[in-house]
Amino acid sequence: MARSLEDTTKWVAGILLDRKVATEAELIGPQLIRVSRPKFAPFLAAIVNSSRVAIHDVQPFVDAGDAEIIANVPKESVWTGDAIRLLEEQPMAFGGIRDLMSASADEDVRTYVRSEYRFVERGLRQHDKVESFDRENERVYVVHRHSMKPLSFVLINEYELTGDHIRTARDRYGAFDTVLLNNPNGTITAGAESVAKAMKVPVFKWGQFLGRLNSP
Amino acid sequence: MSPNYVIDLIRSEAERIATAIGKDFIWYIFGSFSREPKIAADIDLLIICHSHRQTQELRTALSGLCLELPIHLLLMTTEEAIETQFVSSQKCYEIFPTLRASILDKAP
Repeated sequence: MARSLEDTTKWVAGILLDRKVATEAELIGPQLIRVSRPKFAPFLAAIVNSSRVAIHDVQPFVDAGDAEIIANVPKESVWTGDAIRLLEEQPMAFGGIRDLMSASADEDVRTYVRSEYRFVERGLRQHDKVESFDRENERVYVVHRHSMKPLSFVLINEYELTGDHIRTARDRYGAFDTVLLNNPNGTITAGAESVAKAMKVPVFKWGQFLGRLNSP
Repeated sequence: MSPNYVIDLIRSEAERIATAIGKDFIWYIFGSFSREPKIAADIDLLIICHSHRQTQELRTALSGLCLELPIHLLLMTTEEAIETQFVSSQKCYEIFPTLRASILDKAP
């Protein structure tokens, strides 16, 4: 059943052309696409296919230095904190196929950050109780607060938050103190509330979460 | 990766899981793949089952498929599906056990 990495990369190149994100999408390696676009200079995108993207998945592209973004194809996956930090140091952007499409519209692809992460990180930086924050992985942040113990949260962006979302977040991303449902139109199902209560992890939307940061 | 290939692959997994775990699940496609399957960047897949325990079994059983295809997996209990009216509000297409022909009409 498994496709080769080269076939996966070809499929991504086809999507970029079909969606008119790229004027040309040329495979220059089994995991590398040169993306030409209407407004800006071409760039290289690296494609990976992993349920858990770790340093060893991205190190070859960091060493080569020519890719500006690394896109992971599976959506049911996680980027580890170590891999994210390594890419941020370069800088190189990261994400999935949709991120690759969005980043293609930016002149500087390397500094692209998914809008939901940018929104939350800006909010944390502007909060007067927040001293700093770390990232455990793609979706779990640890917030260090002035004169209060750290608070970790998992960022979930769904229209309908279900019990399975919370259980899967715990399995996939590890421990967290709270859930932040970051979709402004998102709703919390009774099943999600029940699972969250059993796990003792309260669920907040953005405004409530900012308030939670004020409490020990 | 043609839409027909994607649907066939998902349905064959659904058959396998029905045999291995049980036949209680209803599988739907929604989102961009149901509207424009040829150019969709990912595949929104909803599976409705009876209990949270079943959702955990399904996640494990679907790990291979989720590595093969860019699937965004939404697992809901029957209660959650009724509460949210998700199938009607998101215009979900059933693909298993019944395959609604309209999803394939959009394929080339």
